[in-house]
Amino acid sequence: MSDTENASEKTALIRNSYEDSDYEEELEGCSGTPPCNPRSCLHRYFPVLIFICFLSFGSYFCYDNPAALQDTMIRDLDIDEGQFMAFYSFYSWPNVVLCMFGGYLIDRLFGVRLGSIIFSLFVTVGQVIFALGSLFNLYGLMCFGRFVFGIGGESLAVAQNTFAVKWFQGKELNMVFGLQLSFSRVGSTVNMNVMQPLYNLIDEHIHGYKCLGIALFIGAGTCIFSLLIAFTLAFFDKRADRILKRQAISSEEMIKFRDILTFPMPTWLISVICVAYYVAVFPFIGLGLVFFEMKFGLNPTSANAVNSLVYIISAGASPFFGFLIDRIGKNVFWVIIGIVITLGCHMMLAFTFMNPYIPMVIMGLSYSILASALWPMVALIIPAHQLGTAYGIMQAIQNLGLAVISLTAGIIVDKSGYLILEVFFMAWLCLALIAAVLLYLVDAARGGKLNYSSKKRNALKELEDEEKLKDN
Amino acid sequence: MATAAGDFCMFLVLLLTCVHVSQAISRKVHTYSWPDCQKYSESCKEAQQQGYNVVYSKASLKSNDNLLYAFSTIGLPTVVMARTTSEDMNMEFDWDKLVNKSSLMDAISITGKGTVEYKFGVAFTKLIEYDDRNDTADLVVCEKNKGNFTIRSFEEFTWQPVEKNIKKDTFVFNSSDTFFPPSKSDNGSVSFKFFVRGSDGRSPDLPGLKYTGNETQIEFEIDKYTPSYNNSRFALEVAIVSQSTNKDMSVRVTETIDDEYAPGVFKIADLLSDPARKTEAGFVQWKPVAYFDKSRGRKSATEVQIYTLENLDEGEQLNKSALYAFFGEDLYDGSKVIKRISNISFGLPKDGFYVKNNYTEWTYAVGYGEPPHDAISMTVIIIISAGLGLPVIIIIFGALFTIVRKCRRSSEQQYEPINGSGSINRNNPQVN
Repeated sequence: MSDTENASEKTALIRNSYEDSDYEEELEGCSGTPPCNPRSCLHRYFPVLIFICFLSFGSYFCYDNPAALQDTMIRDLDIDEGQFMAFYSFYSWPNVVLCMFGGYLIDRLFGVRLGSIIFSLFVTVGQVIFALGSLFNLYGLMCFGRFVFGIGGESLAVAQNTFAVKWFQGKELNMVFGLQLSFSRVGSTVNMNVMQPLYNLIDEHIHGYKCLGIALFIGAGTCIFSLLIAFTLAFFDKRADRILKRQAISSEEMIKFRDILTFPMPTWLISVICVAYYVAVFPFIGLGLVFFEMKFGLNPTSANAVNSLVYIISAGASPFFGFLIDRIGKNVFWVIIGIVITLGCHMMLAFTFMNPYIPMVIMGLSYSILASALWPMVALIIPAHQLGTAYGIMQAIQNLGLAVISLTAGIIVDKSGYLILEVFFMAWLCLALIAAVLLYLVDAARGGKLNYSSKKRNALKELEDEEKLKDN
Repeated sequence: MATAAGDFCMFLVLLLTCVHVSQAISRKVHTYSWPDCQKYSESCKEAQQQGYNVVYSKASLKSNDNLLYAFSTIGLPTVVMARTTSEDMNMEFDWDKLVNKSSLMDAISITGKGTVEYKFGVAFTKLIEYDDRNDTADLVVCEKNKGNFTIRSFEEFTWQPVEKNIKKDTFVFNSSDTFFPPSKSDNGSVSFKFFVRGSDGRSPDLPGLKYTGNETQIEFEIDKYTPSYNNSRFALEVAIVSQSTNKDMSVRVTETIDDEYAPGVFKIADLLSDPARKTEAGFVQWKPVAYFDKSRGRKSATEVQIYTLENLDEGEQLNKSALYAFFGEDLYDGSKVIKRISNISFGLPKDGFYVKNNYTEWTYAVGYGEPPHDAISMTVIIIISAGLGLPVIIIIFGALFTIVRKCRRSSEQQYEPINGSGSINRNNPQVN
């Protein structure tokens, strides 16, 4: 993108320029065909939705590069397991704070288009540093690379959410969030299956840490791919703003940092649910392998299969549940159902010897329900110009919760065993449940917007559009 | 919510039925090494030089219930025990016989007024090292695949003399430097550490076996040995002899949901020498977990597996052990004793093999009567009740509160006109 275009994006944000003109742009030639025409609903799915999904592909792919090459990395770089785990700590700990600022910067300074380009750049540069570090066997440089990569990665996820809301608010938002979740899984699955063979292929010519470095450089290709997607998406988004005359944000409206304090109560309840629920699922999966082997007598291969069920099922099921929730509405109920079912699964795992495939499959499904119902709710209560910040805060709180609880869970299981650990997770789920019930009550007191059925939601939207037309 | 509460109630009921109180026993325990040595000073001295260790332990209770133990490394590492009716009865050790492996018969006798009600013995016969190339951690599979085995009879081992003054009824049998034949240069060691118990309690170290006053807990250790193969794993061959006419010796594995005392271990195994009258027979008990690291923990835990119990009709290898010294000719009289033999292996696929830390530790117990089992502790019950009960109560009350409020509001609203669009205007959606 050229400088002038960048400039115009910024000025456009401030000036409300499209709003004033009555001029309806003619779309000629190819750009008039449905896939290219922002007025056509096909355009929303193809290509925009595809681009949104692939925006984070590189970041998810490279995030799990170390896991895919764990044994190789430990051997080639001559590091111990603790040093290896630091590759993940350098990613996650800074993001306990940073992605909140990332979201804020999207709202305040960059806009979602420039924001996603900048954060994609961070991701790419981070991965390149990481690969360079490996190429020269500099462990410190590699950690720095992961840090830079992390700054980009988490904030890019925030940008992706914001894009999704911008294009799909009031349409198929739940499904789109589900689909994003699937794609994050696709990214890390592809990585898990590709990186080791790739390493082996290069190993025929170059060996040791240099081979590793080259494999990581090739991995950086996916980041460049995502960077190109970010540019393309920015182009389409800007074009759609122009053609559809989407409202831009005025400077008075623009978010100030203290606005965070005025976020309505449901936002914070959603954040609580987000933390309390996710900490009961992901740290559990992190410790699950031994649990399935020892309690249920599974061999390591089946234990691994059971343990990854939640990931696999959520990749397949969340777009489906998202679609269903789009049709039916009533997000708060879905959230409550998701939490209760997950609680039941944890109880089955903790208090019975029932075949763990059953509770883990159900947990995968309930996680999909929760994830595709929970995140879009934020868009229903927070105005568009504050969304980046809101998602950033949610992501930051979630990162903090996951980091702290993963550590705590490890200590609990070492000291007191898996039964107490399961009870600990159940207590978190109960907290999530309380927050969800509170959310329902608070929301009901405010008119029940979050829990409208989709019928009612559509009816309201029409009513609102009519009023807008009248005002104009 | 309803299902959660239901499950929880069912769980509580389960808990209450699980908790049962067993009678506590407190015995007076005395443990001596080299018993009766003054009487046979010549031969005893020779035995000491050879590392023919014997430790004698008496765990007595006034009410005609006494347990006598002898622990020995003569020939094979062996534990024998007897239950006698009188406090006056003692084991006597004839060192003239004990000093020579070929004259062991009746070297250990029980004297004094009273009757010997029951005799029980456990001996380790072989140390098996096998090359687990396919990482199955299964002896039978490895044998089928014709994997490499190095089998050492415990007869070939030599032992360091046990300490003279035993404190706290705890002592160790250590193999001497020239261990692990044929690789004599190796500086690793095999050891058995014994804890003779006289009252109820729980071992402070993992796997936190609960104990009663009727047993001795033993920690078996293979330390710092350079393995013969890259994928070496170890196993023990164990022989069990019980004075019994019943031939039903069997292993019973009990599952539990509670792993608070040994994180990640949900089973306990009891080898019962006579399951029909388990309160009057010997047992061997262990949690199916071994550790690959001295600082035992969840991360260094691996599995312990026992294979089929087989009949040991001849059992000639036993006549060079304290079993023969203790049972005498009865050892080979099928109408008086039953003998069984089995293998116990240490390892779980993908655990990194013995070579991971060059260390393996396994804890087991040898005792008499009903083997102790864990009940879910009060702490866990309290944590579960607090962790799950409180939120459930809060939610139930919250739900009641809302219903009551709703009912009230709907009765109030009857007096006001309902204005649906008004509420919509108030919540004017702001996006797009």
